[in-house]
Formats: sequence, C-alpha cells, structure tokens
Amino acid sequence: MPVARTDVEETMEEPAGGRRVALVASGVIAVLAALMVSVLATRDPSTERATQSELVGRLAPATEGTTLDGDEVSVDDFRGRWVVVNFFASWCIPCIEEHPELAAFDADHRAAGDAVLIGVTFDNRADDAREFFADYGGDWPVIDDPENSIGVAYGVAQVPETFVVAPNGTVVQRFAGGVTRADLDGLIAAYEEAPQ
Amino acid sequence: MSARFRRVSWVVIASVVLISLVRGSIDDGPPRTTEEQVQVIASTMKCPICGGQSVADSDVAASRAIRLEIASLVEEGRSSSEVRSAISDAYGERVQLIPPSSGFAGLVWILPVVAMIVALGALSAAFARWRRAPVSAATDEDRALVEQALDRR
Repeated sequence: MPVARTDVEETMEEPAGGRRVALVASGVIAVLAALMVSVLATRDPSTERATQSELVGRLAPATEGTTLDGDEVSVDDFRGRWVVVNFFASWCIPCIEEHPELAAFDADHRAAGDAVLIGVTFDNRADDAREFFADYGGDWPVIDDPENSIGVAYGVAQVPETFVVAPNGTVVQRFAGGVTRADLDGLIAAYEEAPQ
Repeated sequence: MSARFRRVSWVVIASVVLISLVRGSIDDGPPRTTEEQVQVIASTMKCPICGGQSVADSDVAASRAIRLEIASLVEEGRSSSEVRSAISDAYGERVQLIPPSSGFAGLVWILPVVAMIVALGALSAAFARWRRAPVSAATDEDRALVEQALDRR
C-alpha cells in the first residue's frame, strides 16, 4: 500500500525566504510589464506620427535651385510672405489628386501677394515633371532637385509632402499625403489671427 | 565526477564564452572606401517608410535619396556620427536602427545587463543556499510515519 503523499508533502514546506524572493520577483516583473504596456498604450499611433516633423519650429532648410523653366529661386527671396513648399513626383497618384487644390491656392494668393507656392521634384526627372505641369496646369516655380537633397533636408519620406513656412522663415506645419486649399488657408488664417 | 574534473569543466566553459565574446566584439576595421563607409552608415539607418528595413537594403525613393545624401556628406569629410546626426535632424531619431545610449531609449542597453547581473546574483545565492542546507536527520515523527506505512502492507 502506497504511503499517503499528503502526509509527506505537508512535512516538506518551502522555506519562507524562498517564497518571499519569488513574491518580490513576481512583483518586479509585474511592475515592469505594466510600465511597458502603459508606455506602448500611450504612444501616438504611427499614422499620427507620420505628420510630425523635426523641422516644425525651426528655420526652413536651404531651399534653392534652378526651376524647370531655368530660373534661380530661393525660399529666402520670399521672406515676409507665407511660403508653401510642395514635394511631388509625376508618377505619384496622390500628387495628381492634390494638384487642383494647389492650383486654386496659388491662384488665390498670387493675386493677394501674401503667400507663394514652390514645388520641388522628388525622385522625378525634370522632363517628366515638365510634362506633368503641361498635362495638369499650374505655373508656380518648381525646383528641379535631381539628387533629392532638398527633400532629404526636409525629411521627406513619401510624396506628396507639403511644408508651410511662416513669413519669418520658420516651418510651422508638415502635411503628409495630399493637401487641400482649405488646409492651407485654415492654417495661415489660424496663425494670422493668433495673438503675436 | 571528481571535484577537479568539475573545476576544469567550468574553466573550459568560461574560456569558450570569453573567447567568443572577445571575437564577436572585434570588427574588421574601419571601412576602406567611401562606398563601404556609405554602406556601413546606411545599414544603421532605418528606411522611413518600410518598417524595420535599413536604408542600405531598401530601394524606395526616400532610401535612395538618403543614401545619396550620406555619400555627399561622407565625401565632404564628415564623420559617421555627424552624418547620422544630420539625417536624424531631418527625419528624427526614429530613423536610427541602433538605439541611442542616453534617455529613455538607453534602457534598451541597460536593462539586459541589469537583468543578467540580477539573474547571476540570484543563481549564486540559490547555489550557496543549497550547498549550505544541512542534511536533516529523520525525526521520531518520520520514523513513526514509515512504520505505519510498512505495517499497512
């Protein structure tokens, strides 16, 4: 007949110190896990981070070069006015979709003289960009950037991306994906109305 | 197994671990050409739109543009850390594949070391306690329990 195990097990109790260590270790692991979950849960999702930019609040990077028409242009030439810098490529569908909005913004503000739109090519040949403008209209200055160095200076990840530069030369907003005339007008109006 | 054999085994294991760690931490020297340097820097930077892929491995427009910019900065004579810093200025720290050693992200480097030290300490304490544990003699109660069990057979 087998020995009753319960009697034997009752006499083999684990030392109190071991239990305490196990309890403390479990507590520490639980706290670390809770900390990790809280950090991950309170982080902005990647879709929101995509519209953040390291440049916001800083002076705009050097934005100068030769346009598709052969003229020299620089953002600094327009200090004192709002400047909208739009990175695009002819092969990019969202760029085609946003183009009428940019054209409308350019038409409105060119007349008023308070804002300037500047395009910059990104991963696009000059000839293709010229054809794009011939097809879809628009005659704002477009800098040909064959090495994409202006795009990298702005931290462009995927066209279209648009940066709004305040009259004092500071970047105030980045729009990732297509931008609308209402987005741009709303942003400029908000800054114009905000107390200085 | 004799005590001497056990000691020699531990020394052999420790030597193998040490040699592997030293061998693994020695790199093949600095890159020799600009292309190699660009490749090394690009492999430590994350493509901004393709998850965990490095700029060196990715062929999207942004990665190609960043590689060109890295090459241009290297040709200007900038050091690797200056180049990484210039790219991070525009794209943010999120493009760094190697986490920074300071700030909250620095925990990535510190936590494993702390965990290893704690684990080694706990193991040492447990081994010491087991070694110290006295061999307890059977009590009268134990004997009575065994006799009772034998009687039942």
